Amino acid sequence: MTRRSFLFRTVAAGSASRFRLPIASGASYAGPLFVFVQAEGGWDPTSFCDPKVNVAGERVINHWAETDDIRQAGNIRYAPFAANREFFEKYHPRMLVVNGVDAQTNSHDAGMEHNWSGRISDGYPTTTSLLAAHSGTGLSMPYLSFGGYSRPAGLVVYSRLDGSDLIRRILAPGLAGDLASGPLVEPEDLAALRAARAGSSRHLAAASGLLPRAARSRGQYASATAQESMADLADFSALLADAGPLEAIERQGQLSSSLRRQAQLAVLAFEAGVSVSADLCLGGFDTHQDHDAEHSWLLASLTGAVDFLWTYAEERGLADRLLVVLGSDFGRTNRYNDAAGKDHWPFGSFVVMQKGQRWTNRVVGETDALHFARTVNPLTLRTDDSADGITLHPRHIHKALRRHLGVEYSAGSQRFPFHDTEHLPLFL
Amino acid sequence: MRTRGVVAGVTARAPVRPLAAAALPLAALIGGNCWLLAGPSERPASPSPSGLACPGIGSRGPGGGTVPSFGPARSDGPWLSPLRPAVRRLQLPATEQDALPPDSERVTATVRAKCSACHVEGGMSGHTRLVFSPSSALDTARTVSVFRGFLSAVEGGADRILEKVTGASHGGGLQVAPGSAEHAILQRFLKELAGRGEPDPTPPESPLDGLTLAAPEVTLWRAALVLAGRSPTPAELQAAGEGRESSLRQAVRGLMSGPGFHDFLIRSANDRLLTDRHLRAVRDFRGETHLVDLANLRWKQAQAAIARGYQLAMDDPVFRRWEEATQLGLARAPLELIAHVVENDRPYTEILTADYTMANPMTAAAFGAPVQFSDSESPHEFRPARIRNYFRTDLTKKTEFHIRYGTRVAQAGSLRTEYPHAGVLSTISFLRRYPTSAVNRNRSRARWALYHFLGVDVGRGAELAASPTAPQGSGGPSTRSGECAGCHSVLDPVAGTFQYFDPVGGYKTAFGGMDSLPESYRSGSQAYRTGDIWYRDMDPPGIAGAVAPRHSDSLQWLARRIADDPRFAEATVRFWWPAVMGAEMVGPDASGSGPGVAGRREAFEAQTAEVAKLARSFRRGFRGGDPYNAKDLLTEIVLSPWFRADSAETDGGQVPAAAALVGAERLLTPEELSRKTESLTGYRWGRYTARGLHEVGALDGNGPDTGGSAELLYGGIDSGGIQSRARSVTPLMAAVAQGHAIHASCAIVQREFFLWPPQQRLLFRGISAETTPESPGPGDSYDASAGGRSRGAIAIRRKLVDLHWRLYGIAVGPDSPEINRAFDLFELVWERKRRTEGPEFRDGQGPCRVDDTRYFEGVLDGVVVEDEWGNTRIDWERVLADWTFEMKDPSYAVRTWMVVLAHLMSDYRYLHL
Repeated sequence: MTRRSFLFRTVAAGSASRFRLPIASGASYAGPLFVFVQAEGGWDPTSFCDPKVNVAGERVINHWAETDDIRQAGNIRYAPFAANREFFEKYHPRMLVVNGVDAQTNSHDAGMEHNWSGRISDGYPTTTSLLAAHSGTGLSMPYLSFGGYSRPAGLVVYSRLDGSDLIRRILAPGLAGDLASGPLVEPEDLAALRAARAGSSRHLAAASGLLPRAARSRGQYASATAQESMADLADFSALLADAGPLEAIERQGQLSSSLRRQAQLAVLAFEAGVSVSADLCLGGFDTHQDHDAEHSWLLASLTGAVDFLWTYAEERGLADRLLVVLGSDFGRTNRYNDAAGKDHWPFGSFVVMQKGQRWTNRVVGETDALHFARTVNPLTLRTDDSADGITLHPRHIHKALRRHLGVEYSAGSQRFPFHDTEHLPLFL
Repeated sequence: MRTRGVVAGVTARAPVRPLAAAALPLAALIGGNCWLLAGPSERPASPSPSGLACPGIGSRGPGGGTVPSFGPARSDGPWLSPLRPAVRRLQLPATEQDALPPDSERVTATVRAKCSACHVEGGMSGHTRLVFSPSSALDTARTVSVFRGFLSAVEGGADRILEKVTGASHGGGLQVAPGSAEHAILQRFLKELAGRGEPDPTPPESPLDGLTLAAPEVTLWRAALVLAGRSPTPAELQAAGEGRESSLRQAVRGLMSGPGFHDFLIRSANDRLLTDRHLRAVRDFRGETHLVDLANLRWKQAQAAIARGYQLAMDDPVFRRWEEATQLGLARAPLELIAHVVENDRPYTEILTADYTMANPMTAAAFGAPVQFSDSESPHEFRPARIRNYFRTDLTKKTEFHIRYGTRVAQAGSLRTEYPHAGVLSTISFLRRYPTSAVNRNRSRARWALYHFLGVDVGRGAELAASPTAPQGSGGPSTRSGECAGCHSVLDPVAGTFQYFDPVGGYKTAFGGMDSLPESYRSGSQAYRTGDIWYRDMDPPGIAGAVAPRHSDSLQWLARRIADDPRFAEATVRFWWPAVMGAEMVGPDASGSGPGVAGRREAFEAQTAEVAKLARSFRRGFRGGDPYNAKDLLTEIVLSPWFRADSAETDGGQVPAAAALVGAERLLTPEELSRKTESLTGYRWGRYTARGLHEVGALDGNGPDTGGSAELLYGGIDSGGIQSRARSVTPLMAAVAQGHAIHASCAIVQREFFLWPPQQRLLFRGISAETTPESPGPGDSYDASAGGRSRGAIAIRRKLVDLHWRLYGIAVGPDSPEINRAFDLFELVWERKRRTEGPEFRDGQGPCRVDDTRYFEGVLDGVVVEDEWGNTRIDWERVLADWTFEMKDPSYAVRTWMVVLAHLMSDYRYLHL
């Protein structure tokens, strides 16, 4: 190569490719899609979907209640706080609120495990991973995780996306620095490389006497590098390129939120047909100090991102396949502490969202005026203080979700059952 | 079975030391009888009188026969293994399970509600002789089994339990009131159980029995990649392969020096402590007045920045670099302290008891510490230092504020303060990582101190059986009664030892300099009294029932208590285990159903036994060495069958489920992959210097320093939102690995064949650019034994053999399936290229993406430029101006090697240990 040709061919390493490829194979997964949004740190349902006003003779529960009152959208009551109004007014028709869910813990770790797996100890999978394992066989990224609690328990492997533009570069077909000059590797060579790698993987996986860990590792690598998987990723890459700039990260003081970007990436992965479920995560809800200001911003960011998720999914033609669950580690105390914060409180809420369902625009479960859970009748779901009443726990929500989503008898559900747990007709 | 790392092509196999040897003598501590867990045929004629030595336990016991040569010396024997694993391994015969004592269910309920928060593995009472399953995994049979084991081991055990639950000499206080029905039930249950006597013992079987160890060279290869970030040298391999265990041990230990080992220590310690989360901004310097030298240095730096014409000091790159280097010095102090202790063979307890911190030149200046540095400009050189000029605040301190310069301390005042260094615990970075508040009251700091350094996982047991009906104090839910007390009685005293540190790690920062109580408490709480230094409604500072004798040094006292606690050694093993093994240890509460769960439980028990064994020697010193030597500990983890096991001799049988996590064949972390490529090829994907502080690459550039990299995509952590590593490869990660391989191989091949002289090559020495399957290259010798192949083909195959050795550490023959496959690829690609492409290296293809700023070192001078913020990049104009290299590839071989190398670098064996 001459100096001149080198000059012609050399580009700054940082220049981004603008190369576009048409989507080669289209969506390979067309079933339901699941997004669980984790408000990490313990949100405050009394300022959201289980609103509480102040009680005479008791300490202040919510400052907003000193000047305002509980609002209602459809059949759902909400707190006039943050950007709740816009959210509930717009989405109450596709919303089921479950209040008074007892996480039985004030520990973040245990609370996250309990709320997202249905079991208050290590070992059970998140429902998102169970869904991905059931429906995402053969997909390249069936289970997306953006942080928070994502425990696949061996059912499936999760993929992390951090939203950087690097994803596009990594996944760019041909892996070129300057596609105007040609790819780094010719497609034929890339195909030959992959074939050789596949042969090597088969050879390694067939070895005898492998330890379980090695056998598992080799199998996962063979699966991850399968041709189909790489083709799926190429589709995803093309979609990413066409989607333009990713959503900006929102910031407020020490707080930040990439939730919109997470939602965007999840939707694009869904559209590419490479993913089934996603755990989205927004941290910072552990507001032991300055609760109102921080929680207000965080809740607004949360609802804004969920709004974006639905809107973006609608634009991409995916909203009708989408189910969204919002939840958190647990709730926050029914009072402010000395630092204007709120501390840990085991009672929390879930919000389940889906379009066109009979069970939406509804609230199940109840807490009293001081945000203590009340028991409900497992058949009628009405408040029931008799011996027939039960306290709602996260396992009830997850068990009902499993049935509603058709994975009640899946291999994963069989392996990780909820024994001694009433089935609640939440989705009827 | 392939033969990794054995030059002669012979796999060395050694039997695994049976773990049963570790578990068996535990019985001695239970009942003083060696035969308790031994099988019928192995039962000695009479119990050992001492219970501390059990000679002649059949073929399993040390001293009893076939203890392999790789087993530890008997002085490290398992005689003092803790009781816990043995108790947990007791199996109830079917008849016993069928006939559990009356009240078993009710007692189990009591245990679940009142005992299992602390008396669990990893719980505050996890070191006692009564250790249950966690509440959620507790079942009746297992509970009965634990009680039975206790009663058989402890004379008067029933009375002891009955006393304890009423609060007598019990760290958990009153749990079951004397005279209550619950107490009566427990009494009846224990009496019944004690009357039944001991169950038939069932000999434990090691889940590692029947596994085969990797050859020493393979173990060393893997250890070198993990510990040193490089492949071993031939000399190291030769030494390790001498056949003696001691040779391998020495070779492994010899890996523990140099920058690669330092990176391993820093990275691994951060994986646990996560203090890098605040690498860029661990402390807000703007209002700093306690570190008076820091305040005044910053003032001067800001003045100079303004004098240079900047509106704001932070707009000045010089000022910004000083600030960030200082932040780096503070942020890395705990990790550097750990590295310092390990690298210098100091007792590992010093990570807590050190009466110093670590400082780089910037923070040493900020501390007023007279420390000599080799390079006073390097933010990465850390030395021990003490904080000298720390002044608390009262009326004698005079400060000055300037809107553009910030704050300076004009008069430091009279409260010069001896900073209470307590190793990692008192570092600003650790304290900042686990902040406190008026309500948290240092509980987070206590929780993580207990977890990391004692292995006590307080949060794990925090399951509330009922709603929070307990009365609440001003600082939040009551912690002294009800279910909360179980955890808080453990947590709160330890929290109190951090009493003098404020939410962001400042020491005695309240005005007057006597405490760090928040103003909201001092002025707003009725409980507060003038002169208080800690919350009146909190337990006094202490740990496990012991109260710190003085407030003034309570954190240092805590550090010493933890360091003196036997559990510190076990926690240290658990701290470092994931860094070496690439997997978390199995938790005590493996739950669910199915065979996998049973295996996890068995693995947990086996790992617990291994931890106990390692910890015991760690405390005493391995093989007569110094106590608490972390290099020795790391060495022994590597030499353990958990790391060394390489295959299973199944003989048609099943590999034990508990062996699911055995073996070191695992995915390299992004940092390990990046270091491996650099060590083998000199190329680091995406390398540049970020902000004048950190040299980062695409696979190890995540975190606060760069704007994103492939590190997270490849399963790395950011110490904030993502705190645990992905251990299983996904298609996305495979794509990253492929990208790394293709980008790197292009640049590597280009440099080796066209930019470097042949003798400088790292991978392609000994083969020419003209060597093809058909055209013999100059210098290649003809091998008549090669079956009529061309000399070119022979040379290519030999190079492929060489590359398999260099890249994977495996020795394969020139006609092995691996070489055949790679050679076929070479031929296929070469044939196509010579049909379709022109004579130049990159004809028809894009240029190599050279994105390593050190790529042209020794080739072209002055081609790396640094912007005003300290970020480096290659100056392509300068490169092109100086370019004199011809990149002709008329034989099409070089470009073919690029594809083949990309294949080899994206192969499973390159990406895994």
